[in-house]
Amino acid sequence: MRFLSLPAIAYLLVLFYLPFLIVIFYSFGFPNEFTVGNYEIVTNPIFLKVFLNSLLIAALTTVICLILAYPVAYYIALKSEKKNLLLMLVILPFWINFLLRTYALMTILSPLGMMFTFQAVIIGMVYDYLPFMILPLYASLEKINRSQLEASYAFGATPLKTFLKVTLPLSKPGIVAGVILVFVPSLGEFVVPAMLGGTVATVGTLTWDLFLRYHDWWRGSALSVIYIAIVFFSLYLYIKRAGKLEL
Amino acid sequence: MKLIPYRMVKTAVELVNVCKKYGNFCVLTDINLSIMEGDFFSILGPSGSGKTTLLKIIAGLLYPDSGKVYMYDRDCTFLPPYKRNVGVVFQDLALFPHLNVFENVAYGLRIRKLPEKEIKEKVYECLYTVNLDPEVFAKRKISQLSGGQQQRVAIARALAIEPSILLLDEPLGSLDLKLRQHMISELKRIQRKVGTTFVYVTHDQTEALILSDRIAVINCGKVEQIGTPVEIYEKPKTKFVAEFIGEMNFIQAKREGEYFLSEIGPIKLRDSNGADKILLALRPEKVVIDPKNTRNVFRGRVDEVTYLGSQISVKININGFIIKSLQPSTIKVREGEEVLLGFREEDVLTFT
Repeated sequence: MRFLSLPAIAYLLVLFYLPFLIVIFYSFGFPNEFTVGNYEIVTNPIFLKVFLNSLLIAALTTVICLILAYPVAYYIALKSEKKNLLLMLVILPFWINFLLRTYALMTILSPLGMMFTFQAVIIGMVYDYLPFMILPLYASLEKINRSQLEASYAFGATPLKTFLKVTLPLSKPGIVAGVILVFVPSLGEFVVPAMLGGTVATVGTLTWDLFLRYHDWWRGSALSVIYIAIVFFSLYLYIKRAGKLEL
Repeated sequence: MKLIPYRMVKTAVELVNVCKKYGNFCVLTDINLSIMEGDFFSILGPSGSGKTTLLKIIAGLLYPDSGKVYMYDRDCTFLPPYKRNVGVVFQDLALFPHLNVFENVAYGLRIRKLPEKEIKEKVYECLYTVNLDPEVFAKRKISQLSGGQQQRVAIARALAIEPSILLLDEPLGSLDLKLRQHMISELKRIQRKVGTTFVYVTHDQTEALILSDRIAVINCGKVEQIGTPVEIYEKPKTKFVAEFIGEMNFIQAKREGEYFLSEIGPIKLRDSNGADKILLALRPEKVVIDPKNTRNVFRGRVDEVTYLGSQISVKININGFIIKSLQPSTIKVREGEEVLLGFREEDVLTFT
């Protein structure tokens, strides 16, 4: 059966890993020269500012999504009689194109005078990424047995204690997955900041500008490589820590 | 026979006219029962009879629509479960997969904020009670245990809080036959040791008969009979109880002068509470082959003999009606043979 996985592997190889390799080559000055100079971009204070800005946006987006998504997922998984309908409503926005949804948001934000602000970026990001938090949370909460909660009540735990000692720890895999699914793409997000943020710069918009505005493919590549390295490293730390994390 | 010390036996649980509906469907109707302190009390009934609902009402996980629940004479009808001090062993065990064996058993103790030293002592004691060596098992994950071991952890967890009542919801349902038989004797041993009131929900009549001091048979949300295992087996009050517990021959009969005409011939009975049409019930082991007395003797042909070791099960055909009979295997009968069979009048149960 192994050969059935070959098309997908070939696809990824040709269209992801190979281009990524080319990006790495470019970051070292390919095809003109070999230099590490492009990486000096890291030392530029603007880069640091932009990166921290992205980090702030991604972190805020993730935290807000988690706070908003948990009650929804909890309700659908443990309290609702109409799970499928509600899940459907959560997934429904996916059926409308991402760009279209962001444009639609513009027509709401601009009469409120909120366009091209930091808040607008956060609102847009949360709006786009919320389902990515709800779904993994739902999946882990849904596995909790009613009787496990009942057992906790019977052994003396109030509903609040039951939530803290049983529900929350058992939903940990969902929290871990949801945080990754929201944080990683929102760190590199450029469409929402570009459309709603105006001058709000992120790693995403900076990469976009370097490639397509200044046609500096070499610095753009270096920035991409740095970004990917940071994402990989923080994911590695996060997953390693999350495994041990006691909630 | 259980020795009752010289003191008043307290009522641990009392249900008065408890009713519960799901939508328009009556799950429980007018349940009245009282459970004495220290009793092994079984709630026995077929699946869908409402026995788990009844258990949840005692635990406080469900509230009745009407009626009262008393625990030690205190009205607990709407007391939330976490204030009842009731231990529960759930049908699916409901152990906490994110905690190890020690923490599972310690769960209720940690909620009660006991000092660490006391918690450890209590957890070890409870693990010893259920025959799990704490040195070996305390640190194990729940997923690393066998079905029987998980069972024991669930019981230890429920015992740890020193509950005033321990509720068990078909706890042996998922075990294989051998382990089940072993756990039955274990449960009995544990209950004797800790002396806690056990309320045991089961659909298995054998478990109920072996384990219980008293049994409540319920069917379709109603109590059919409450009594000791002997009373339930020997003197079933309703046809349902007679049919549900053990094997039974049922014979339709109609009064005709001083006899009752039945499918196996005329039967003479002393008392029959005046009804014209009655249903006679006779346990297979009460059927006598080659009876000494001369009243109520019937001639039949042996249709089938099944060897069961110490006993044989014999199916006897009387004019097309099959009577099941259980005999010691010292009695020799062959298939196709004609036999005389009878029964003692006092062994026949009558239902109207």
